[in-house]
Order: sequence, then structure tokens, then C-alpha cells
Amino acid sequence: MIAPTLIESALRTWRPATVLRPGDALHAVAVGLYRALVEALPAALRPVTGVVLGSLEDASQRVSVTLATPGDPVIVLSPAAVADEVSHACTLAHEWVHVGQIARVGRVQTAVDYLGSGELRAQREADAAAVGLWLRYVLTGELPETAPTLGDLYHLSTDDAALARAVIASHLDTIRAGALPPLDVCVVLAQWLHATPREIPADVLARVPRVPS
Amino acid sequence: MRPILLCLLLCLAACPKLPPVSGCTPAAWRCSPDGRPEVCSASQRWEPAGDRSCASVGAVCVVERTAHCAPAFDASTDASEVTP
Repeated sequence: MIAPTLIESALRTWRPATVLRPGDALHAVAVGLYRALVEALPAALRPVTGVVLGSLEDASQRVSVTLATPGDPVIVLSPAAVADEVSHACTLAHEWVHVGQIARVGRVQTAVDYLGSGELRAQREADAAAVGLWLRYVLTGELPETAPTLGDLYHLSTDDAALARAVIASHLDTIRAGALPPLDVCVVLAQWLHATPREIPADVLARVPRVPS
Repeated sequence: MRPILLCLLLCLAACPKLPPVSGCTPAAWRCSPDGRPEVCSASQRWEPAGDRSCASVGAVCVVERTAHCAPAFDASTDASEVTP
């Protein structure tokens, strides 16, 4: 197994972010911020944003989040995310997709898109979920037969949930075809895995297509 | 006039940036002109699967059940739009 901290180092070289794990001094502070964020929202916005942020506070034992801050993004990992090394690595990769989205779209626009559009939330969470599935496949060889449905956490309508499932289905078909999902995080990790072959088990490396540099 | 302009600017700055409405058939698939897999949303917008083109990962975009990337040597399917 590849240590999740090595994967974190590879991703941090690409896009800097701060990772908070359960037990870290700042972890409890960050989780407490969810409630403060909801309470600080103007009342008119709460029906839109409070429902998402409020559920994050309640679900902080099993849900990891990436927060766009004035500095580097902050990734708050849940206890469930660090329960085993594969989940730990896959959750880091999932959250780093959001770090990339923040870098590409901008902090404010990322928040506006995420909280203001179920369609954009569905598309972005689907890409992030697909990266987690891809890395789990690389590390274990396991790939789901069909695209999973994103949980209730993201408060997606039926139509938006179907969009998310379709995006994940596309990425699963890409993996089955033997190609790399067209996602920045997959490219970063694929290049890193092939650049450090002595530390990577051969069966893992065999599941990672080479990509143009 | 100024408050209206200000509101307009604030709205533009704070609106979700969705792709344009294209009139596509919801759940249809296509490869975009620059070779990205896309699926049509319920609001009839082409939404991408991924954040880069298939070519950038050494693959080509194909439409076969879904739009997705496939290794260039395996790309035998016509990359046109399909409806569900």
C-alpha cells in the first residue's frame, strides 16, 4: 500500500492545501466553523446555503470537506475518511479535485457555483467522486459495475443526481477502456506514480496508463 | 441608474456560471469539439465529464453507451452525438 501521506505530498506539490485530520488541534475548530458559518449567513440565503452547510456540521463524523479560505484551501478529513489507508488516500484525491476547482474557477465563484446551482454541484462532486473511484481501482483493482448514486449529503434534485451518475458512468467507462479519466488530479497522480516506480507495487503501476508529459 | 448598475454587477459577479443552454436532449451524450466527453443536463446544457480533453491524457473521445475517453488505438467508434 502507498502511504496516504506520499499521495498528499504529490498533490500538494501540484496545488497547495492544508489537511486537517481528526486529532489535529485545528480539526475541532474547523468542524465548529460549519455551525458558525450557517449562523452567520443572511436569513434570506439560509434556505439555499444553510441546508448544505448545516448537514455538513451534522455529518462531520463521516464527511470530509474542502473549504475555500483567503489562504490555501483547507481540507477537513472526517474520522471515516482516515479509517483505513485506501479510504484515506481516495478521500485526499477526492478533496484535491475541489482544490483544483477552487484554483481554476476562483474562491468566490466556486462557492457561488457550489451553493447556487445543483447542476454545477452535481457535476463537480461527480468528478471528485470519480477520482476517488479511480484511485481505489488503482490501489485495489476494485471497480464498481455501475455508477454509484451520490448520497443525500449534496441535496441534489432527481435530475441533478441523474447528471452526477451520468458523469461518473462516463469516467467508469474511461477506466474500463484502459484510459485515464480526463481529470487534473488523475494526471498528477499518474505522472507521480510512474516517476517513482521503485516505491510502487507492480500491480498498482500496471493499472495506471501513461500520460503525455 | 447607479444602484441598478451596481445590482447588475453584483448579480453578474454572484451568479453560478452554468454552460449556455444548447437545447440538447437531456441524458444525450457527445464529444465536444475539443474532444471532451459531455452529457446533456435536464436544463439542456452540455456538462463535461472531467476538466480536460481526452487528448491531454493520450486518448480520444468516443461515444459508445456513454461519451468517454478511450486509448487512441482502440477508438473505432464514431465520435458523434447520441441521444438516449
